[in-house]
Amino acid sequence: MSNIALETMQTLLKERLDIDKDKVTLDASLEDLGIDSLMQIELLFDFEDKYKLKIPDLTEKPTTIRELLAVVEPFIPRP
Amino acid sequence: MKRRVAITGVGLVDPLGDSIHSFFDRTIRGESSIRHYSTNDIPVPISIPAVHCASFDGDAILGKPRTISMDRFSQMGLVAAFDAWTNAGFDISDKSHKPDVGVSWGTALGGTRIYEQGLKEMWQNGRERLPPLAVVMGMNNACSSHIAIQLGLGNSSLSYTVACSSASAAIGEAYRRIRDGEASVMVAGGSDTPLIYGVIRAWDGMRVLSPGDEKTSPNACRPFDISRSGLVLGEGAAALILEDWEHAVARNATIIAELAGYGSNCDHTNLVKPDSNGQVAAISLALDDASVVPKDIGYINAHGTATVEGDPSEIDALRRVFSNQAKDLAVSSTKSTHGHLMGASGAIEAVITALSIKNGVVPPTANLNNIDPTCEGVRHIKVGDNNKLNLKAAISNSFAFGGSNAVLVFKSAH
Repeated sequence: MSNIALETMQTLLKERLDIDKDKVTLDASLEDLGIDSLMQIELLFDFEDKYKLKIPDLTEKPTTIRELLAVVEPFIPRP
Repeated sequence: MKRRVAITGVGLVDPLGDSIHSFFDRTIRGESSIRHYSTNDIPVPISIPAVHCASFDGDAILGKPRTISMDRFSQMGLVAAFDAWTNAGFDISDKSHKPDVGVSWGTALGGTRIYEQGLKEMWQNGRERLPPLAVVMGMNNACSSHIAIQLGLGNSSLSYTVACSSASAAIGEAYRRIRDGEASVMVAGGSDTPLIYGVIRAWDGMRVLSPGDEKTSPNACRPFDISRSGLVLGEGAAALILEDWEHAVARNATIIAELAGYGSNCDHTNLVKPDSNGQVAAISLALDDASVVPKDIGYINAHGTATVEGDPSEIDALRRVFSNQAKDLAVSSTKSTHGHLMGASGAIEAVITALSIKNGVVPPTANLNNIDPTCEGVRHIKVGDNNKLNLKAAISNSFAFGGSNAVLVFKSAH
């Protein structure tokens, strides 16, 4: 998992939900962070916006930050 | 057996960012919250008189993440509902399931703002699709849903969209739920945020918006005056806590007033032209429902939008219903102070009417100086008139585009 994906997620969650960055770890539970299914889609949309991507629909239900980032990771451009 | 309905809490978003007490005091003095409102919107900047709650910051009041999925109309509505809930002596931190408590909310425009923002994004910035939260932010029942979720209201979450009668219908239907034993407590009110580019332009196109600049805007809305030149848009929210009378007494709640009657009907004649026949019928239905006769009514909070056609129609209806008593009937429109809140107007006017009964003082029609002869025949309360009245009962009128009329009757708690 790249740092860039995690850092982007930390920044988004701070802006959107006022969640402290140190709580957004790869193994953090989405449920514990208060990220429901609607917010997961919203976050994927934010990634699409930020990196001008087209991320496919979720086929499995992610339960952690790592699993959610795995969906966007393949599409994030490498510096 | 029909149950009596007590009003045990009121709340609102004050346009000037102050308290409900300050708002009511200013309203009683006839002080206008209408100011010149201008934006740098493209293609044509906005420049109108309006009531803009400029200091309202939903994020600061409600906090993230609560506001992340809330349009401005939901944020304002939730703040008003919390205000009323607290005023009634309930705890906003208590989210326990309450099967006997519901919410009934009015809005004409709902989350129109979020869709307009989306349209701009798509057409100006080439965006293909919109954030998924736009769906739940834009739906008309968004505000009632948030109120129910935040307060644990399991009885009902109802939303009414009846143009300018939306909140009065929501309050009236909530009253019926308690009266008929379907709920013990209801949060009832409305919220609307019409200061949206497309909405303003549409009202402008209808040629019913009163013009004004920095200097003249506070006097732009002049109901019943010979010089009236149209309505003034306002944003805001207001809420009341309606409660089964026995339930309120049992918990030693302070009863502000009784909501004693509700009349609603439809003119079914014209989309925009007011029809005094329908208004007469709606007022009569409300009086019958409250088991009062015209002489019991001491004050009317009029719909009074300051349009050329609307004001005479309403006064004609009052003259017909109140007959010989009409000339002594205190009447005012408070829209010249708080603006026309569209679907929320009935809520803010219900709050004003309830507080008028409680405090024995009624608001004037601000900016009314020379009464239009077509609006004569009632006792118009102007700024500076004696407005201390020991009220037994009062009425709030709401008459909407589409011909939907909603009339609420309030009685003194004593």
